[in-house]
Amino acid sequence: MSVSSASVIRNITTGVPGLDTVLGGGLCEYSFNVIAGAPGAGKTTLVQQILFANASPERPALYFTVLGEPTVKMMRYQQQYKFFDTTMVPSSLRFVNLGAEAISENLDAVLARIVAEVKSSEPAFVAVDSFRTIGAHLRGGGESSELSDFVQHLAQELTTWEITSFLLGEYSEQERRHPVFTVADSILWLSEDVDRNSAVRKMRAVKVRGRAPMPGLHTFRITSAGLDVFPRIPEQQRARVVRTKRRLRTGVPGLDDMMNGGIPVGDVLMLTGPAGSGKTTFAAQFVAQGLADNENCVVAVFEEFPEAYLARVKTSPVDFGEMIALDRLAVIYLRPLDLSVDEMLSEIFAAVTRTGATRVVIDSLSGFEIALAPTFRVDFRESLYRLVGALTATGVTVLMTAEVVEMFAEGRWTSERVSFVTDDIIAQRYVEIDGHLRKVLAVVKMRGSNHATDFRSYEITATGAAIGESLAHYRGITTGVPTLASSAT
Amino acid sequence: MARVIVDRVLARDKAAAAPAGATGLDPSLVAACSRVLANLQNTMGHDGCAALLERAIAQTLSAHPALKHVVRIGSQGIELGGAVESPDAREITAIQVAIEAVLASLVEILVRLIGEDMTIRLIGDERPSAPADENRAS
Repeated sequence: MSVSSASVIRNITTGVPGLDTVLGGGLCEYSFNVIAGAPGAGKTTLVQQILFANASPERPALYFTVLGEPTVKMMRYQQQYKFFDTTMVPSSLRFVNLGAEAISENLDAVLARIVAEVKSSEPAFVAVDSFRTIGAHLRGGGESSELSDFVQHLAQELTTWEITSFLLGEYSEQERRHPVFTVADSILWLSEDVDRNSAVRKMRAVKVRGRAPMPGLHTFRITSAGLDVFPRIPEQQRARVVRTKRRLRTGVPGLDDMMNGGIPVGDVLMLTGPAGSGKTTFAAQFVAQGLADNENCVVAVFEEFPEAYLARVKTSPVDFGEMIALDRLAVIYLRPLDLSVDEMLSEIFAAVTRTGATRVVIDSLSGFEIALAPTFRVDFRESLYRLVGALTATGVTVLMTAEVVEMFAEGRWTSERVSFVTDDIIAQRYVEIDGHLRKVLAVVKMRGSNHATDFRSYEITATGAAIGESLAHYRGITTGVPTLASSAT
Repeated sequence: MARVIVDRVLARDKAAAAPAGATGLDPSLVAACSRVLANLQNTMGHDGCAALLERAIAQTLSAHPALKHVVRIGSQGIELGGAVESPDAREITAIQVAIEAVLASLVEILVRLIGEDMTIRLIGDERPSAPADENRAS
């Protein structure tokens, strides 16, 4: 009989939104973790957030400060975070300064003090901030044998005392030979990408023993609540919802007929058109129809504040404000110029999950692109691909609007850079007929479905958009200046 | 506010009153000083604690000239020197008032820097835990 006697490594959830996903589930209990990054990267905030989420009088934490930022200043600033609960100090989290031992340049004294404090408090968690300053005086710096011995002994002591530990340090990628990286069970590298006027914080789980961390760079933001990590979600890692043949009503009279009954559930529809062509109106009607059909919706707006958006759609027969109050509709405002696609996904997923939405509107892709940090704009196609893939995997139907700049003869029907991610494309444009500016549209593409191929005029009135007559009797509509076909004259 | 905190710290050590030491100072004051400074030293390090104390003394000295008789205040106790090797009761009282003022000044600085709640917890002044701020994230 074979009985498995392998020890079970208990999981510690970090309490940092998104971080457990990056780490492959959380931290391993009794692990020896290194948090590395440049000054200001967020190391102290990250570790204190984890400690305040996990420490208790029964499982206390010791936070050793060494040299560098004065403790009183660190406390002054860290207290501004909502996670910093002063009532937990010192019963659950105690700050201890190792400055005197570190200044003495005697690593044995540093180790002896840490061990003495550990013996006296029997903590479940220990942090050393900043570990980099310990042994900085040694000849050979991070590669000295004395420091290597110290790290080995420290890791040995902390593991023996069944402590989950965090060593924080201002290391650069070039210092990967520092002994602490060899001994570490996990390494989290925090960094900041500066591109033109934007700065994007990123983290990477370089190594996580006992777990399968999510690869790649993950963006994070530091707010008054602490760190919020946005895991980079590859499309294939999400379970896809099985598609059905059901179609959704668009809410625009006449448009469902052009689309062979409406938008197939789970499709991604892109509605393109020049400024003022009624893209937002169409999208609002799609939302209103969903709400009327007892489906919940999420609208992500980039180009105007939610109040302005709601004022613009107030003529809808469905009261959007009331729907928001009932949590059947969420209007997400995402306007910063340093967003990552993962941050946006995180916001949309949270709203979809909260409301149980089946319809998502992104108004508009142009605004989304501008809201992204420059570093993500370069990879906009990839960002959009991941966004769309992750959204549709949940089974929601997505309507995205996109502005095309050209209004007349030289106009493009879709943005060639992004149309590849869509199932359906409806293109709006202006044409001149008999000296009048008319709005027309055509269903350019519907993946796996029949659809109308003729151009139709449409009107935007006080009650919304409605499809009008077919322009099948005109020729040259794509030029912007059509003429009546000879057979129609 | 700082004075209230200091009075509470001193009252705590009054309960365990011991006979006056060689300096003639109230032993509860000596014990309170040692305890507060040891706690701060542990948290902020020797240099951090010394910097705070130095500023507290500088702020107090002009109003309490008796402080010049104090050679050292620290986690190891209080040492007097000079003309007050055999101080009379009036001098002792003036020195004690001055030391209490230093403590109050030190607490006041800390409260300004890290807030009242954190200060109380760092100097080791025990009082019933207040419920956590409802606005704080869990």
